[in-house]
Amino acid sequence: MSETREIRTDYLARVEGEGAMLVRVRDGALEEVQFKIFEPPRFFEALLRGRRFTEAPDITARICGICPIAYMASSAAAMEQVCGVELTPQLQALRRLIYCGEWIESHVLHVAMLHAPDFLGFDGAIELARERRDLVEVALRLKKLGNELMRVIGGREVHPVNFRVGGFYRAPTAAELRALVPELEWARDAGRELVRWTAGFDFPDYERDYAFVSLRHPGEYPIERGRIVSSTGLDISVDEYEEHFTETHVERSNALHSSLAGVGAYLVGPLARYALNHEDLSDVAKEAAAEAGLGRVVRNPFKSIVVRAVETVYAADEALRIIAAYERPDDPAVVCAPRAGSGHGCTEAPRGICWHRYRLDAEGTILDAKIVPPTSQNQKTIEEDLVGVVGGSLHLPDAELAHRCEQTIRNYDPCISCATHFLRFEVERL
Amino acid sequence: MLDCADEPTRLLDLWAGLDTVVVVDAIRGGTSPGTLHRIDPGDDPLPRDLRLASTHAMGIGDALELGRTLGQAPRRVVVLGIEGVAFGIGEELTPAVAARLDDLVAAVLRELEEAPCTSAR
Repeated sequence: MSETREIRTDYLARVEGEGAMLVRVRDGALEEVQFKIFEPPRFFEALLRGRRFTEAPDITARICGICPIAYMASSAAAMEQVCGVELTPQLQALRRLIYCGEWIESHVLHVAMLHAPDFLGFDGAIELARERRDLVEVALRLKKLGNELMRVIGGREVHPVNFRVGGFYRAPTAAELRALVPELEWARDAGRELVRWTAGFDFPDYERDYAFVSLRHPGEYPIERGRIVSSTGLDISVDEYEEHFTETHVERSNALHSSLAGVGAYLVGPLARYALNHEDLSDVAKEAAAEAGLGRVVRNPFKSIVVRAVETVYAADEALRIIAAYERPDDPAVVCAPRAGSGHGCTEAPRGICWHRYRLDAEGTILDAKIVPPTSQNQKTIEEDLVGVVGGSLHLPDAELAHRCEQTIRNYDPCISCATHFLRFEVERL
Repeated sequence: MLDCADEPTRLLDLWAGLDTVVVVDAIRGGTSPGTLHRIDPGDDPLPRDLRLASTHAMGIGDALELGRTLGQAPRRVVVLGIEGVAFGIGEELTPAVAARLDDLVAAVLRELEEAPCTSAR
């Protein structure tokens, strides 16, 4: 095929935030692929300077309405490290539990409302609801449960107000949490239904040998703590992140591109967590994955939708385990006294690791901050996927090719609003 | 009064069981600052490009259509808002917008007076 064509999507639909895509084919060969993020940068890191260390969770929560807990948990972990404190096991469990709520609401929103329509040939959730009202109702009920878990522990569903450095302002009673058990038991079954449903989709035949990066913590599927590991043999503490990962600015994007030293592009999120921590999934989640025909490693990015559904089952199951063992702590938080120094925090946002670093003075004032959200880490990999997918799909007419490319981007559930935190900010003092 | 700051599928939960909903938000519609907007779609869809001030995946119009498809939308949804001008971080309400706040409140009350009172929340 010798032709020159340009496929452009100016406003990507069904992603969180404002992004675009450009594919340029010259003389029948792929010349250029760009995944552009043009949502304006939001300068959160500059906003944090001069604020109290205790304010970081509430400020960074505002980065995202879908995954506020990721920002709250990563920033709180970093501050706790500076203060030299560790959460008690009960407080750690509560933090993990509220995070389970976020995984459920975020994953279900993406799986059912944003991504599934791609596989079924629908424009979006409204068309899907016309054809499969039952499934959309299940998805909305699951999502509501995720929000409810966040409300019971966090005080409200979005941008919780009860979360703090060192724990919580008030710990929920055991009765408050046990009231959620029947709905969580339903959710565990409903999640398996989502797994079965998504496993039946037609998946483009495309696999890549990704460099997977995720957290890992002994004996538990990674959510709110762990070391950073990769399929290329990396195994580092979160403090060592900057020695191995770099961020660079590229002209076309308001989000920084991340790179792993000696490897280049890497992938964070469900596929990476699953590949690197399969053995730590609960039995019911493993059964759901096996029933869906997933191996221990999934390299087809289009199947990330099934892995998200498996993680939804896991989050419901894990929430039930935590609630069954829950005893209300005597103190809702560990006392955190500030001291001068740097702290690092990293947790598994639904879309992948969300890494934070802060430097404080002795009074606890934030001197500087760095936040690396998952979507900016995945940008290079998304572009490489586009090259691979487009290269194998040049025979498709433009409209179909454009759709295939958008679907490729949506595999990552990109949260563009989160990614555009990047800072190019110069102050000239005369 | 219900506050919704995240993605609009949650509006469906907030709207459950309500007969009339008045959505109030800042509006960016290319008119002069302080212009009072009223959008009453009746049984038609809301304009496709009517979005909440967040940049999340679904617009408020999509949320309404999804609710109608699932048979759980309010009978009547009206959108009221004031054309804003200053959307930067930390910016105060501009005088042009502040001057219309009383009018906006009066407009909300008018909508509620017209609504049959079947439920109160």
